This record gives sequence, C-alpha cells and structure tokens, in this order.
Amino acid sequence: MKLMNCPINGPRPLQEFFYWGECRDMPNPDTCTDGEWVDYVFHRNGAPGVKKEWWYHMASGVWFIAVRDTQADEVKETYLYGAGPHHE
Amino acid sequence: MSAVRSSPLHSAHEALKPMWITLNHMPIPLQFVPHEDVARQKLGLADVSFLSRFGVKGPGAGDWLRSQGVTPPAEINHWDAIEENGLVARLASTEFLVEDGLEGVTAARLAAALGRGLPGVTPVFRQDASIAITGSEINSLLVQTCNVNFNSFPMNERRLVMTSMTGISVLVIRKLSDGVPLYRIWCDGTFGACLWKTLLQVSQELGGAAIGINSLYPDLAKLKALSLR
Repeated sequence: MKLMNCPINGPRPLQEFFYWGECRDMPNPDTCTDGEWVDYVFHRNGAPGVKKEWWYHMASGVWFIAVRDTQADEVKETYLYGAGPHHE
Repeated sequence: MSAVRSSPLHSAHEALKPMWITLNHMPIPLQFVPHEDVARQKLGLADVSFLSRFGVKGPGAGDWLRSQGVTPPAEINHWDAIEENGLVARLASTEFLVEDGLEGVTAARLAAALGRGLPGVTPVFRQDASIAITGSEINSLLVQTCNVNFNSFPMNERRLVMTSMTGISVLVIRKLSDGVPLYRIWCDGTFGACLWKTLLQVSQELGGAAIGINSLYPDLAKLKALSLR
C-alpha cells in the first residue's frame, strides 16, 4: 500500500488523496506579457523531476503541497500552503 | 407539533423489520432480535443518527463555544466529553462538532443561541449518518474496511480520525462503554445506507449483527419516557 503524509492527519493510504496538478505561481495578469500569460494558461512541463504539486485529503478536506519526484514517484515532503518546505 | 425526521439509514433497517422507537422525532430501531447483548459484546452495529448534533465554524467559533460553557479540545482532530455523555470535537482549527448523549440538550441549546449565526461564527447544518460499533471483534471488521490502525494510539488520547471506510469519508472516535470497545462513526447522510450495509455484511460474516439502541441504553423505561419528550 502506498502511503502519503497529510500535514494534518498523518500518514494515510494514497486512495484517500486526490491529485490536483502542479503548483505554479500565477503571473500578474495586469503586468505580464501575453507570452507569459499564454505560457501560464496553456503550457505544462511534462518532464519528470522534483515538482511541487497540489494534493487533497478527501476524508478531511485538507489541501496541501507535496514535493514529489515524478521520475522516482517518491514524495519527499508535504506541507500546508504558506507553511513553506523545510528545505527552502 | 414537530416534523418526523428519518434516519439516513431508515431504508436499510426496514428490511430487517425491527421494533421501532421514536427519539428526537426520529424513528430508530429499538431492537432487531431478542438477546442482542451477545452481539453488542462481540460485534454489533447500531444506528445512533437520532442523537442531536450541532456544527459551528468560523474564526470566532471556539470563543463563542466557550462563552456558551462548552470548552472545545485545544488540538485539531481531538474530542472531549461534555455533560450527559455528549462530546465536542475539533474538526479543524475553526470548526467544531457537538453531539449530545441520550439525554443531553446542549446541541439544541447551542443551535437556539446561535440562530442563523454571528459575525465570524457560522452554524453548520449536520445531517450525518451516525453509527456505533461495539464489541471485542471490532478490529476484525476494521482491518477489512479501513486503513487506520486505531490501536496505534492510546484510547485516552481521545483522538478523532478522519479517514475513509469502505471508500466513504468518515469521522471516527473510539472509547469504552461498560468495558466494551465502542467506535462512533459519522459520515455524510447520503452515503450512510451504503456504509451501513457494507459494514453489516462484513460483520455478519464475522458473527456480528445489527443491534437496536436498547442494547446501548438498556433502561427501556427511560427510552420510552424520552420518546414522549
């Protein structure tokens, strides 16, 4: 069984979680160029590597960030948005 | 005159043709078969959806509860006992669930006091399906239906666990009742019948059964008096 660590509820089976996509910083639509906005809206980086992702613990309604190595499928860290990863 | 409410599990009970009693304006199985105490001590499932509940959330919810004489737990995902065998649980930093025991009136008092809410204090409408599982064989049921090892933390921590059971999101607490382990489970009412049927099916394979609330509250005279309230 794969486990993921919810920052509030602790380790739980992966079936209790929902993946929402990569956590990407939105450029300011009032000041960014059209190219930057198009890149944000339409482009995704599919290359494997260590990424910050949005995940959701369905049983408790907790949204959080997971730092995951998508090549090794290894979750390195999870934390609440705004709490900041320990390695940054 | 008060409206009659239905338990979210009502349709699942009807096929078993139990004896009914109405508590808090909700018909609820009093007894399914005679001598249910054997099942209660081994593995019994009871519908306790009739117990009064009150939910509240918002940045001022904790302080408001304290102003009403209800002290919530300091930690998220914990619960504490309140008067008349009720409980208050902290579901999040600013969200709480209060449930009365059989004779408690705290939930109704809080609901009346809060009305439609105050700035920073919002009532949460609770129509949970609420199940009590009792008996020494609970662990055999849980290992088939849930991924959390409840024996990994002491019972006196009064921890509230949010997890999934048979794929349905649930709140779970555990305690002792007359020396017998008792787990309380809440889930969204619309999933209640599905959860109940699945748990009951697995329980029956393990020698368990559905039990009426007379097994949990043996004082029949008191139940009948409360049914008139």
